[in-house]
Amino acid sequence: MTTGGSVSNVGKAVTANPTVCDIQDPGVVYFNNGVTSYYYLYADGITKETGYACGAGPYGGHAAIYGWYSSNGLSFTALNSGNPVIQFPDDADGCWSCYTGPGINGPSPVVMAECSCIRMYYWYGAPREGLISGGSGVESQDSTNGTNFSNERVIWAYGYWPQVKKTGLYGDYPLVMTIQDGATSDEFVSAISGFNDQTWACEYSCAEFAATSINNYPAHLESDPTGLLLDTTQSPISISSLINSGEQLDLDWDNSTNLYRGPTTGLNLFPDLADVPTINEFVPSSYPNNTGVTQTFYIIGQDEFNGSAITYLQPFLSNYSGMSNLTNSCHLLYDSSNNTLYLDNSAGDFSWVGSQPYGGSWSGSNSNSVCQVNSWSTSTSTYYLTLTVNLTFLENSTWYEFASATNAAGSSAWVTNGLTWVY
Amino acid sequence: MTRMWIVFFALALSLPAQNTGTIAGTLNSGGSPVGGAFVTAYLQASGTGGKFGPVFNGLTGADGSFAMKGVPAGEYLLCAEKASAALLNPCQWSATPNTVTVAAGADASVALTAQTGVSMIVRVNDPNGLLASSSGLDDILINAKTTSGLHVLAVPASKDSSGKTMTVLVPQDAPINLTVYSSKLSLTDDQGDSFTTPNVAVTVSAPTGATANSASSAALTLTIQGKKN
Repeated sequence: MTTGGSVSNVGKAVTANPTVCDIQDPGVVYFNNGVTSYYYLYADGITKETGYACGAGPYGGHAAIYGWYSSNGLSFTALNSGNPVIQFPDDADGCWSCYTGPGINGPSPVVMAECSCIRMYYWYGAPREGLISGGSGVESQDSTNGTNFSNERVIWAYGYWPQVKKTGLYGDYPLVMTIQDGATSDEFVSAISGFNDQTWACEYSCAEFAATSINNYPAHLESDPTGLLLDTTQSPISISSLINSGEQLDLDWDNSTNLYRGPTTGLNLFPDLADVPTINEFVPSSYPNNTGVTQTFYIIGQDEFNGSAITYLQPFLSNYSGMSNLTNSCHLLYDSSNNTLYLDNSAGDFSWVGSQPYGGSWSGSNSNSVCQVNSWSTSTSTYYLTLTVNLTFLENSTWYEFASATNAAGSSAWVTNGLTWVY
Repeated sequence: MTRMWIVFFALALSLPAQNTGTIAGTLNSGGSPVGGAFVTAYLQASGTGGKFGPVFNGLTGADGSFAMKGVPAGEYLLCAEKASAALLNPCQWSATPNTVTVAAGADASVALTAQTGVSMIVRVNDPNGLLASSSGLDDILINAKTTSGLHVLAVPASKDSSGKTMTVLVPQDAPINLTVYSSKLSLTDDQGDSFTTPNVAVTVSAPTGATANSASSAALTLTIQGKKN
């Protein structure tokens, strides 16, 4: 099918301007943007270069995602005047996005309540470009109008043609995904997310399903028009007891329809989602400047379920590059249960020299031999707890940044982000 | 509709795919495989703008095996947790860190071991209702020293009119060093002895016979006698 204008009969070729070659891999959602409701159809395709046959030009056109909308699901009109809604910039020195090379493909749209948007999952193949190491893997972007996409994020570090659906058990989450993970088109794995789409666990240790799907398409997940996964009875999944460690969502392969479907009602098939939090960021407000005596730092912990579930957030500045030596450190601990900040002694041995409830006065000391706490505050958003703290350094050195976060399930590892502060 | 793209794309993608590898391995505790545990791999490389490196998760199967495919090449710190089995995270309780290096296009295997612990209960009695009278008074912090030299923190489990309960996951039937901190509240221990400094080291053991999830009684009971002057 060649199209770029309107589609009134699916499968029928229509004239288009600009012309798009090889439209394929369609995905449809029904989305209410708060004003109107439309069906949004997305597919990947390649813009035809002027004067050349499809794929024959020097750049061959870009593999990109195109979109259409419809009020009745039958007659579609092109979004963005027939131009791509998600694409990558041209690369003047090569053919990374041309017909015989990779580009951006396999749209899998889902209507997400958390952003009142269409979230587009797709696979990204653009060596030397983009957010993913090596330029290949799964990304997502959001749109509140179906046309303008932003918030580009890495989802999965490899694979092609993701199929992503939401379960709706905790807001939109967990999500489930099937993905082609090998070079041949009959190698699939399935995965389930936590309470965001940044953390995924493979099913069955990432063992491949050697299923041969229709026309070698990746494994499809059956859903309602918003991307809500349906179980084998064609109903949204309903599970009374969600979190049972060691249990997994079983996506059943239906040989008669070549579809993946969720489990039947009543099964407890989810992994232990009460995962430990992670540290997202530890950065001075002056970044990228990293020198000075007094500075405000932002430390951001991330919890899959809720930022307010983080009980402790601990930044640690040390003049040793590893956590094997804790001496000479500026170690702080924020306790969300009593909204109090604690300062460790400079030996870093968890012997606290002072503490301050937010808005109150310090008990003990607000300084050790390495640093002094001048002020601090916290804020919580959906998944994040941010500690903002102003410090004055009392010792000349290069200070390495480490951090850890804790929730009821446990603590993250002590990790460094590689940044240093020099005083 | 042609699927020739697949061939083209697969060929073109073979090069970038070499930048990733696989972490595969097993998790055992006491010689037995641990199924249903989360294994977490922290890439020991910085992001940009103060971001931390990516984190990858794998869920162990019944045989304790796990795999994380397509992870970027580099060195990873490996942790493991399973709250319902009171698994002691080797990131905190192993004397040496569990690291593995993934080479581009290669598989890295690792055998993780973790001890089973017990959720130790610390009870804080508050006969005078001070905790409820002012939230700013509660600066009680309790942490346990691990074999790695770092500390793990007791987390709040419940609050009631007569005090609060905290828990911390520690090895079974072994003495553990706890640090009890409060600069605002006068505390006494089980024997009625006063804590005279803000940081007091207490050595306790999880109750003998306590297994898996939780001890049934407090290993340490503290009592708030009043405000410090």
